[in-house]
Amino acid sequence: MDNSNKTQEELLAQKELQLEQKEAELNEKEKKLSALDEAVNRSKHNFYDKINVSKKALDVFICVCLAAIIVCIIIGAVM
Amino acid sequence: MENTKTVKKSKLNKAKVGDFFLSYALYIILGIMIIGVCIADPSFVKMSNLWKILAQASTRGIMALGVAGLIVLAGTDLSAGRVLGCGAALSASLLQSVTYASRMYPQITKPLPLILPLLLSIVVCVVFSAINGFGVSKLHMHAFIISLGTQLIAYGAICIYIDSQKGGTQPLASLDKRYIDLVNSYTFGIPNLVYFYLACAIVMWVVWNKTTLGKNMFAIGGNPEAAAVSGVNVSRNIMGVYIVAGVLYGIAAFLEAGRVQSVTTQTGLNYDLDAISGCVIGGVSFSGGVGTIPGCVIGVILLQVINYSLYYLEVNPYLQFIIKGLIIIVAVAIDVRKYLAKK
Repeated sequence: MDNSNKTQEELLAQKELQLEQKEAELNEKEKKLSALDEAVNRSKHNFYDKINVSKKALDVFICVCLAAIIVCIIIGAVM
Repeated sequence: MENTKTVKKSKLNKAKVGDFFLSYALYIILGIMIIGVCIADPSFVKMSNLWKILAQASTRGIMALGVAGLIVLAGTDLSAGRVLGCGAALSASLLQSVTYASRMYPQITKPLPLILPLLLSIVVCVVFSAINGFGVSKLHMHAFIISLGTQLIAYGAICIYIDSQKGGTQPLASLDKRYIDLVNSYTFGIPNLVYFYLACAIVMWVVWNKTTLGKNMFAIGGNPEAAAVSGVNVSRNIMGVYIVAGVLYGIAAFLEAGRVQSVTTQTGLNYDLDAISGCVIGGVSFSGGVGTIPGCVIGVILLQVINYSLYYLEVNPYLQFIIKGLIIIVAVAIDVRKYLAKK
């Protein structure tokens, strides 16, 4: 009985060791993947990111352009 | 408590209204402009005008369906117009009437089947488009630069081709009656060109929404690095999108030659800009990864309505250029505004 208990304990200890190793491997993989994600996020560059303008300034710009379109149509129709 | 709830609700409603106006701003603006034109000249509202507008929008629209894919990839194609000119010149030269004495190929004594010039036009356009695709995907060149180069090459090729006629540089006209009938006739009261446009739009909707190529295209346009990490073959998919665009240019070129019935070295000039502006008006974002086929179709039609109505109102042609330019600037500004709102 004692022998069988001992062998079972040894097996359990081995399995625990294996589990710990696997956990460590998984943690390493996760770290690698999260580092990769960060790299991807950092490398994502958007065309519009380079345009440094506030929403208000853009709204004013759009309104000015619209006014210019209306003026052009009126002048063009009258000419 | 109730007061705070009503304040929150009204804020939510305001945000929803703001989002709605931002999403559909350009449609609303252009819609108001069209209503203004209709009020200024009520004779504008006629079915015949509508069909004319749709027929004119069709060839540019088919081209825009190809360009839209490239814009979704965060690229562009400045050569599309001139490449269309090449395809149109080839189609027109092969389909000149066999009874026309000054035809380009006097050795063609029997009318060719219509499918042959169509296929050749597609091949020529695909070759140019594939060069652009190779430059972008393999050589990592900016789409603007490589397509600028192919634009000039295509223009040179059309000039040499049209100039190689026996009578020198003369328009490729007197086309085969079958060809003109196929492109310009009406079926059930609707121009055939509209059916071609609709068919291309449906096929492209399927390609964009139901195929791996379409899904990869959006992934690459949104974030190429993330797409590559996810196992997408970026360069192969970019090439695929360019080749599909080339096929669409070829079809548009074949139809455009039949529509205008006279191809010169200037055929296709500025068509690319019309196609790009149609896409931008239709909500295809230059930031990449955003766009829909219905938006693209509506954008091109709206732009054509504006073009036609300005012509109809006899607005000074020089001012028409300024108005079109301003519309494009507003379209891009609204797109940037949408991006800022999402941020």
